[in-house]
Amino acid sequence: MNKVSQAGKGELVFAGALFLVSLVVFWDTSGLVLPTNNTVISPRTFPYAVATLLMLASLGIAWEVFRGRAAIPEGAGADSTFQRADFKTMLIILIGIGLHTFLLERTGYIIAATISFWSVAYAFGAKRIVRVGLIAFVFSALVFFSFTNLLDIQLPEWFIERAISKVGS
Amino acid sequence: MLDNFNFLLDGFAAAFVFSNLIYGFIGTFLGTLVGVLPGIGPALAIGLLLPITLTVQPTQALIMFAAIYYGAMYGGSTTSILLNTPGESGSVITAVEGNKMARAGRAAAALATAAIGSFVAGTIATLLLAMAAPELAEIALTVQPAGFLALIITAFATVGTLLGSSRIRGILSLAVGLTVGLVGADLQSGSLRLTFGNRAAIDGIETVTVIVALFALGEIFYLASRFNHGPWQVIPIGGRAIMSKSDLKRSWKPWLRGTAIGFPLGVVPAGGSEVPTFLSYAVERKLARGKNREEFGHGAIEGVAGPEAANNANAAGALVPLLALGLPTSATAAVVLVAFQSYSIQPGPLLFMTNPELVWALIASLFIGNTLLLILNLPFIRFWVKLLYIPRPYLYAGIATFALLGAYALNNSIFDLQVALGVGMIGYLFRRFAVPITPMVIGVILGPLAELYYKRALQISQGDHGVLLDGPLTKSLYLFLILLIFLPPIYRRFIGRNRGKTKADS
Amino acid sequence: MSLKKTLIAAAVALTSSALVISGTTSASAAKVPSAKAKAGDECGRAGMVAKARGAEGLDLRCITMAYGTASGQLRWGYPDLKPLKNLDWVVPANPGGYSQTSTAISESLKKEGLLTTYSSTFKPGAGGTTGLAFFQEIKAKPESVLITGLAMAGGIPSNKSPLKLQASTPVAKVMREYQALAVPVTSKYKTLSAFLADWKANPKLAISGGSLGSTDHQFIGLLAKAAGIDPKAMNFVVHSGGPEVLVSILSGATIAGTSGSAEFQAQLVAGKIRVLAVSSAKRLPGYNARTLKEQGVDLVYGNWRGVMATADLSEADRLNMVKVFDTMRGTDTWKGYLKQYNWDDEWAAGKAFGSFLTIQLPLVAGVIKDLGLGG
Repeated sequence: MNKVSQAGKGELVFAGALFLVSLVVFWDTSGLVLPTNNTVISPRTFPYAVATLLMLASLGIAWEVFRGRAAIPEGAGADSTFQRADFKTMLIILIGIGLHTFLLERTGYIIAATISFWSVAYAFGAKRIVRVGLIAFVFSALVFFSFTNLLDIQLPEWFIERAISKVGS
Repeated sequence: MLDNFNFLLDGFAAAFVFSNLIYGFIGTFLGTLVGVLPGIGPALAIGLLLPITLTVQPTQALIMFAAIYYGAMYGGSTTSILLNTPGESGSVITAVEGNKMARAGRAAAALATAAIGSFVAGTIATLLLAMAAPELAEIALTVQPAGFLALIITAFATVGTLLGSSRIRGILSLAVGLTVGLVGADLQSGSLRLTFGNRAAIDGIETVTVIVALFALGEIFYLASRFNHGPWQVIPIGGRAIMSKSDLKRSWKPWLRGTAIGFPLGVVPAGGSEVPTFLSYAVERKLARGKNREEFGHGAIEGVAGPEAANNANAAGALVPLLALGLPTSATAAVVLVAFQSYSIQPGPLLFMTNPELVWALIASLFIGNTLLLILNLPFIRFWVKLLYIPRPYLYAGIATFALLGAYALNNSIFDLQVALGVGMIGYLFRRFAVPITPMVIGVILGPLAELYYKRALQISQGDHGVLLDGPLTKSLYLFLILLIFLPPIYRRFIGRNRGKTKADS
Repeated sequence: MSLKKTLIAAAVALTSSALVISGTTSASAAKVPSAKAKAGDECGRAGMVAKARGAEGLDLRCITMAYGTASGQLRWGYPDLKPLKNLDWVVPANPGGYSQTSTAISESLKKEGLLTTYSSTFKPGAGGTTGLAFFQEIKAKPESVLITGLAMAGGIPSNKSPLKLQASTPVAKVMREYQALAVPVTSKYKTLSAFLADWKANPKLAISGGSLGSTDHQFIGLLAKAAGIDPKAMNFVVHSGGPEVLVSILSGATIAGTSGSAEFQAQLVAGKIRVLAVSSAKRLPGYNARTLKEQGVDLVYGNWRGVMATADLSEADRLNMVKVFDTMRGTDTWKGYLKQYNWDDEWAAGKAFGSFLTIQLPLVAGVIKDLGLGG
């Protein structure tokens, strides 16, 4: 068996995680409450089939890796050596979007969108924090008012949104 | 046949109202605007623009959609040529030859052959759609659940095994998609699956959320993880977007051949535009002679003209099963389906019977959208190119903002945002480990339908599995599948070699 | 001479036809005496009183309408009614039947000057209980209203939801839509009795309809019971709604199918399907089908929809809202919608709707239980 490369190890973890997911599907399906009315095919049949496919496919990936055929990341040439992923940049975005999700219905659209916009822009190299924040705020406010007023789409509001619309009208 | 023609004229009459044309114009503008942005393909573009059309009247929304649909595809090819960042699998080939042409100072010709080729292919394919869809809808009325199941399994097999770097990764992607599709209450029994006590999950996971998150957030995570901080290189267009006589001479046959390849492969459930564009490229390469042949790999105009035409014809072809059977066979078709459903329009065999005016207005709008695009965009190409100079941090921040907005606004649901975040991470991992994205999308869309038709067929037959092979349609489809399993060695010999070569070239 | 004759004849014909036309128009809006008055009907003389003819036993008074399509005309109404400024609808589903009804109500109210603006929030899921839960958490917003119906009445027990619809304030039941049982025109079943006889011999005949626990499912379950078949044993094949049911029976995948009568109308007129029976008490106008009752099956069942307001609505606001809705019922705009959608004008305002729910909800829960759901 070939030696598994650094990249291959990552892929093994990926395949392992999906294998675990397939086990979760099996477990969840086995615990399904079956209906008492007349159904010919149990609601368990299809999930079992899917879980089996997922399990086999994740094993297949592992097998590929062991045979030395680890994946070449998208956009990277076959000849390019593997680089460590820049997890710090990614983490900033993840936190930004996570905060967006958490705050949206608590502090309104503008604050949530300002944070996510800012985090993505910052992660992609816009380093003048205050300026980026200002642009993010203006952009979010523009999006909020054009969607709620022009398109009648409801977005969560908080005192900021109400204050601005008061000033505007 | 004559009836259809009259209906089509009525459709034109409906679409040609001034206010409707305005919507067509807005759609073309927005579609191109979003499509030009790097990394955004037509499915994502329509997904992102979906909230905008939610408040417009149905006919006008359809017209806007048709315009967005073609606009987004046109915008995508521009980016591929000038920036070498294809927004979706169908533009990969365009990026290969088109970007080479641009580097050789022939960007204008590449953009022109892409635009005109798209127009020619789009027009022919829409005409074919107008003729084929009603006939197919008539036939579709006789298709029973087992037939639908066979069609879906065919789609699974083709996307799962034909796309991406390896079969096993395609199947894995499909399996993940099917798993996501399981979440929620089972329609037939009401049993809750993979909801883990979360009430919001009972209705399942929204297709548009998955598409937006996979394509937009996944891409942003991935780019962030391997970000190099320099600006990218936009190749300037020399001169106007115009073709020389010899360019035209070299382009028109590939346009027609591309259309001939793209449309039928859109009608059969072959899962998107990757296969037809690669096929068209291979054909053009085979048919090229002399000096032109040598240009392949260094910027041959045939290599842009053919695949671009194939891509557009394929997109129109995919509307046939969508309209006639209600079966979305690509990510883009799935988003269009969601848009239809938000107007309580259910595509399927009855659509032509119950809402003929709507269908024909849509088909007429496709013609109009396609034409508007050519008229409006060829002269304004420079304006669109300017978009590529938006600083990357703001560009990605803007895309992320609209992706999150799109995910939330569909149901005003925080759960959808949580899903988007999770699916975005899956999108990242897939890119990292070279797992193709399209099979997952197809799995999410068609998985629940597969289960539905399987159960329905057996519910009706009361458990007799023989029903699954009833009828000529199912038998021929399964026969086709068996062939497909034995075909790949041949496929690899003819196309795989070319594909390998283009990969190495790029 | 002959020319003159012709002219006279023409003049006579014209006037008489004009008389006929004006006669028919005035017939549809004839003055209604106080003993038969409903809100919105025309009345003879301002100031007349129709005792206890309004909602909840209120008096109606003959007033000059100040707004709406009947502006300036004398109509039975409530003099102290205050038009609503805004309605915020909670729709417990994706756009479809519920929103069709809430939109028809809102548009009628708006056109008749009884409402200024409205908006909708869609909260689909779990048989309508997601939307109900959302609605019942709303506090101190008198403009919030919920569109509800039979599907929710069935959705609550089949999802084992602890929520109670009566915890909210009933405003009005606005319509009913009856079920139709259809087969393709090529089917061997020409009559209901032939179909029922076969069905009884073979309960596994595939019958298509909407989702689990839906009106369609409830109806087929009740029909089975009436025909002596155990509802749990029948072969009900679920579909997403009327159009899919049509495709299913036309393709021959299922033997028969059910949906709201309007869903089948176009294909019935086109001669592609045959409707074996409708579930109404009387035949539906312009609908070529006999009732179940006529054919010896004692069953009347149909989907209804209604409007609920929040639990904390003040008595004054509640009464005003009931009056507004009750006034809408008689307007031409609303009547136009009833006709357009083939809805039956089955109306219950305020407390009458509450009493209807008290009887209806346990009944529906029983039907759901018979179907083997929610147990």
